[in-house]
Amino acid sequence: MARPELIAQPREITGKHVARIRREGLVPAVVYGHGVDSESIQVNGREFDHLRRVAGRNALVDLKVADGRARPVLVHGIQEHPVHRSVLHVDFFVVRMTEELTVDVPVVMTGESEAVEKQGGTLLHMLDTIKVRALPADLPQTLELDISPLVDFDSVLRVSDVPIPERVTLVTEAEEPLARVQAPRIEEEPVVAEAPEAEEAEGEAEAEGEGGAEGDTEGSAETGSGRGEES
Amino acid sequence: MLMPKRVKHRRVMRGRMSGMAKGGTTIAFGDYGLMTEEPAWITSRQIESARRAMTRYVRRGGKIWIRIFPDKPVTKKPAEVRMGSGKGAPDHWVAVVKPGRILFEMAGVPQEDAAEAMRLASHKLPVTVKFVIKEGVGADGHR
Repeated sequence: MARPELIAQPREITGKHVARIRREGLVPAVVYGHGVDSESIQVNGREFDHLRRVAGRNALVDLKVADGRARPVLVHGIQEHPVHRSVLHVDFFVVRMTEELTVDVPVVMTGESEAVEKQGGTLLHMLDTIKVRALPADLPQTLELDISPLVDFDSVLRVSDVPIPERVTLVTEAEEPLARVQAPRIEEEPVVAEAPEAEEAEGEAEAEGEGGAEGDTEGSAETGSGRGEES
Repeated sequence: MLMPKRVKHRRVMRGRMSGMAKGGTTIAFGDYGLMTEEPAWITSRQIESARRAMTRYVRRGGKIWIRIFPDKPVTKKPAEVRMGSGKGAPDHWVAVVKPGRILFEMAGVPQEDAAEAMRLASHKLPVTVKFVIKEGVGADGHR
């Protein structure tokens, strides 16, 4: 299958001034690789968005800078605006077709789980991607995982359950959990254990009255607040 | 309500809220998220109220993640007290959020239910928010 092609132009403007390029509908980018000097380039924003949608995450792309010859590249990193989600910058990695690469491949769930369909559970994805190592030509776009073995709320699918194609090596720990089904909530539990009032580890413990920080004591039932919190 | 178990300093300075969120801007656990478009202090009461609104709407099924934690103490002087005599006593806890931060996530429900639950939750929050969907998630909530 022919590789999709992307045309880029060399870029002179660097640093904060690239905002001007973005206003013109272009996306600043950089291309680098093993033994290849890094080069600042710019690509058309619309063309890049189209390529992202059509080609997929780990697709090899032929990158042509100005009138030079096309080089096979992988999209190595995309910086997005935190609010508008527009592409701010792209990293292209020049691949050598004879050199193995390690990439994150998305896992697609197939089939139906009895615990979800009949018992009303919620399918939880512990991992979205799996790290694999392969030659650029053998890189899979997605890996499929059949979730039908998830028959109850105790069963867990692990990375080792994903069928890995030939000539592809698994890098992620095989025992890592990948998917499980959480039991449905019965009803909203009105009260859980009282949260202890904030203690202070501060040196001088004055006998000052601490009026606040008590409020009502209804806790956060059935939410993943602890796990969901990022530092 | 959410609050730290113990803190190093019982009172902290107010700080500034300029710029965009630096982390926590992508959907990490669920399929749908609620993203703030404004900077704000979100109190533990508001977080709890929004969580309840969502839980009540989706009833059984589905899972909700709270992606923010109110770890900043806010002090308040008692009513009718003259200025001076030091800083007031800690009153409540807030989470400092900046534009782009994902506040809540949800999984295991159809898209329209998640959107409605988060719309109800948004009325409990002091910021304008946006409903966001994880890349590759269909309208039925399957990836």
